[in-house]
Amino acid sequence: MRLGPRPGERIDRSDEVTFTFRGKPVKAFGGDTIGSALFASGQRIFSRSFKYHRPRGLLCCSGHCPNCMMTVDGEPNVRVCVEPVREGARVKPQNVRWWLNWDLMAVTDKIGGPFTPVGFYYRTMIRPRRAWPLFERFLRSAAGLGRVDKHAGRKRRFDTENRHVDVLVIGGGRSGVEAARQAQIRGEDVVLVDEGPEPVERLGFPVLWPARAIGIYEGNLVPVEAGSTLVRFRAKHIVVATGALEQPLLFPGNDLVGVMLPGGARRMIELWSLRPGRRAVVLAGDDRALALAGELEAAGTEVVRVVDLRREQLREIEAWGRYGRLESVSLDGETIACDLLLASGARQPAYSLLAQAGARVEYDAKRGIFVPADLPDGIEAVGAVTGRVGRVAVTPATFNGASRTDKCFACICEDVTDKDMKRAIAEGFDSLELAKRYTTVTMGPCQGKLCHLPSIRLYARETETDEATIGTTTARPPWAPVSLGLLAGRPHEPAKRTSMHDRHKDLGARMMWTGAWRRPHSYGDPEAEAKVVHDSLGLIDVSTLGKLLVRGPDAAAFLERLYPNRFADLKVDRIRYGVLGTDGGRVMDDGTIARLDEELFYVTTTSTGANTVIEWFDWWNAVWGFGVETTNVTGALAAVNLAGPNSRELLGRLTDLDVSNEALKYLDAKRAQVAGVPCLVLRIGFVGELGYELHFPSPHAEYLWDTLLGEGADLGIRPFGLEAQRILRLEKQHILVGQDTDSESNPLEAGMPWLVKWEKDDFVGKWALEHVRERGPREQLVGFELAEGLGSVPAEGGQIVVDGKPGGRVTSARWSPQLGRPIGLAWVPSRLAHEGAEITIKMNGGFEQGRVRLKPFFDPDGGQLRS
Amino acid sequence: MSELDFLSVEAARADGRFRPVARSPMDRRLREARAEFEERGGRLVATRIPGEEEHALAIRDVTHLLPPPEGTEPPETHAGFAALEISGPGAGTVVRRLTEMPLDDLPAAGAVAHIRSWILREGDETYRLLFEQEYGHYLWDVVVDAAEPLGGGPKGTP
Ligand code: FES
Repeated sequence: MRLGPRPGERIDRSDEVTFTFRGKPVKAFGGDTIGSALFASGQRIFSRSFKYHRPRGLLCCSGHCPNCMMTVDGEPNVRVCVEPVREGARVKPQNVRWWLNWDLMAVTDKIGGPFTPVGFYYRTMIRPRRAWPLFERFLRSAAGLGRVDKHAGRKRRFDTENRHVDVLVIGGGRSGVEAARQAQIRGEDVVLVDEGPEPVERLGFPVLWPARAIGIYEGNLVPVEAGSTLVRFRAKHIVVATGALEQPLLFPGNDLVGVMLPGGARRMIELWSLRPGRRAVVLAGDDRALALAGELEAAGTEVVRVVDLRREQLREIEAWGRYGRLESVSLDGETIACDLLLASGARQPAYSLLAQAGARVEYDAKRGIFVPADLPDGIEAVGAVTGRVGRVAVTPATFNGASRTDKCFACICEDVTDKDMKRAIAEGFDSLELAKRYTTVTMGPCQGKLCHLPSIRLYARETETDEATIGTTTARPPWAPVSLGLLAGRPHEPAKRTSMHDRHKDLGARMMWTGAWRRPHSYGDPEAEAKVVHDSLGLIDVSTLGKLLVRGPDAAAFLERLYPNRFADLKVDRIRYGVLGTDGGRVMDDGTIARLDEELFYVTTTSTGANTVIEWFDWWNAVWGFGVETTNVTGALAAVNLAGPNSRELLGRLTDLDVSNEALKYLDAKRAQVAGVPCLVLRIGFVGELGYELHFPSPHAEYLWDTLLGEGADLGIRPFGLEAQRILRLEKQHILVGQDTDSESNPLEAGMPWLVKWEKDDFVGKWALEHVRERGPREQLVGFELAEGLGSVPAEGGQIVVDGKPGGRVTSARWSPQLGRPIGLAWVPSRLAHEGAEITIKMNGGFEQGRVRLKPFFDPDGGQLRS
Repeated sequence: MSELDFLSVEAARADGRFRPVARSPMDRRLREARAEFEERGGRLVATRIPGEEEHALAIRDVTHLLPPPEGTEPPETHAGFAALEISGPGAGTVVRRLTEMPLDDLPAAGAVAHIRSWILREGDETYRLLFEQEYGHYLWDVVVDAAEPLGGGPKGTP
């Protein structure tokens, strides 16, 4: 089937490559595409159409149409006409029930026509409703393009790469190459990308080939598909040289195997030395197509008839075939036997990228094509895409068929016929944008490359207007199909880890997300972990706390004005709890503030609040004009909390610091070496037992963690996770901002009225809080307990029922091993916010009675903490 | 102890009983690559990684070579940073696969694989990334993964 060696052919006859098609070996040469090799081996039918399962063969041979899509090595929808051959590739046809030449589903073509007009399933398959899933399953399997292997996982690697260039040239034809050469001469950094199929002439500037620009986005961003890499170009200047595309003619039988675009046949001969057919008829819309006749003769194809559509007006064209393959064509009633029909209308500038970039597109009635106009800054068009396509024929919307026994396709991707389009108009879809959505014309794999212009023409004629009035539909990226894997790129999921992360994993911790952080939920048994804290000694990683330094002569005044409570009177080396409020008096974040010096404060925030708080501080600092400097030291410091009756003993063993209750009191802050590591020691307790928080340089974290666990072994030390901490803090009724409060909560109602110092001149949110004080609390956050021994715990978010109606909600609840009953925090109406009030909680599909508790369940007067 | 010593790795003191040692956030990844370590100035440094000779394109943990260049970050925060070096043929490609930032005007700060990072140029095909240490494992994994198809791999600091 191969012609003799020809000058300029792309195949290398000395390089034999073998791949398999449907399991059978196919021989090819280096330089072949899978499509050219299959054609050489005698294959003529390359696919079955989307809806009617009609046989389809090579049409454009340049990767623009849907006709040659196959599954290659498991990847669906590969255009084999441009896919280079690879040794051992496994190629399979798709959307086929039996095999290409004999497709069971082709019956839809024979009987389906009248029953399957466009949009038929919107109308016919909606009743009975119950059956839709069944219909849908059938439709999905009958139509569609290839199959995705759901179990494949990430088989293929996709990368994303960013490149900044002065000039990006899209398209490697003569004009594109010239533009790139000029840019290079000007000394600019230029890259040319070209999608093939012919290789680009290399003239010393960098070329990406085959590589397809898939769109032009804001800021001159051009993503380019280059094999498995998505190259995201940012160019100061973009030159679009995408050329023009041959347009198919609309006549009955225009999709038969053997009907081709002239350019496709030319590539077959020139690149792969193939004879595209035995007897050809050429219907030429321009000089290029006309010139093909000679090439065909030279390749041994008998050219039986050439029609120059610019001179000769045909009224009727109809192609006839058997088993989907062309056998003859009738031109104005004259029937000519042939197996190749090369038919094209004018070449239409491939302006899509320009239109995406913001260019206007206008109709040139003289030549019958759409041309780009008003290019945005930084974008240039050269060559055929500007409309320089020579003298072309304005082809009619459709050619009537003599007897019209076959379908005439306006869109071969989606199997939309001229009748479908007319029907859409009759149903009232008289704008092309609407018809596009209804018929899906231009929405298939060719993205309108081969059907946009013909459907505009068809619309113009049917609505008795003109092409300019119909206009084009909006051009959107991608310009060609892209695989989702390429858009996704490598999987990058940033996670913050504390410096002790690996130690937690070594100890078998179950990790959980808290904001961007990964933290230990537990080390297996949260209740036992909580018990150890009460009985002897627990150790928890609290490195995720936000940590800020606030410095400057105004630091005290600054904090005094930010927080509702007092800080100006905080003594050096002392700590105070603070709740940060918004202008609206809402609870924003909480944490401890230690005064390390007259002009230096150490502020901790919630794990997820660090960035918000630091921005908040910087904002007010600027507004008030205070000379305060804030530094985020969250990552620089690791932190652990030692909690439990044995914590003093362990700390004493590791430091020279006097850790007696007199020297290191509750809420004292001291700096000391602990096991040789410089630490800030804060005596605070979130969990209700004697406790110390150590803050120290992150790089020492594993060392200190190991040392604490080692030296504390005889004291019963055990690490505990977030879950145990949640139980313990509930026993103390410590709130978690964001869990027990939401964006509407204020400190007066959230159980912290003692915190607000009204006598202060001003603080952020004071005015709003005064308002709340005046109107009185409506609902309040309170502790509650359920009956002893009750095994289940209300859901967080669970309802509190008051007088048969929802009246409140549970925000936190756990079973307390210490108390032997479920406890929690809940928002209840103010009249129920008193010690011992009965509340009804909806849970377990029924109701349980609970009791309000305003004091901590455990160590209510804080004796444990202070001892 | 002076005011902000608790932020300083250098303020750690070894005595008879205790011998504090500082680790990089990429320590575990280096161990998994069977790195050999040496203690230098109280820090553990990976000196050699088996198979490193095969990689012309090398990824190195250079956290121990901090502090970062003057003016990039306040000194109190230095312990909060980790640093990676990518050097050899293809180093630029690796960096361009992780960031949109132009590389013709370094140092610059911006997003590298979605996290904030400084990019510094140390030579023609040598780049350093300086970033928050809590992302140490993450960025190590991402950079090694990006370098793999270009023949890159981890290397020690002899
Ligand atoms: S024949 Fe392959 S895309 Fe048209």
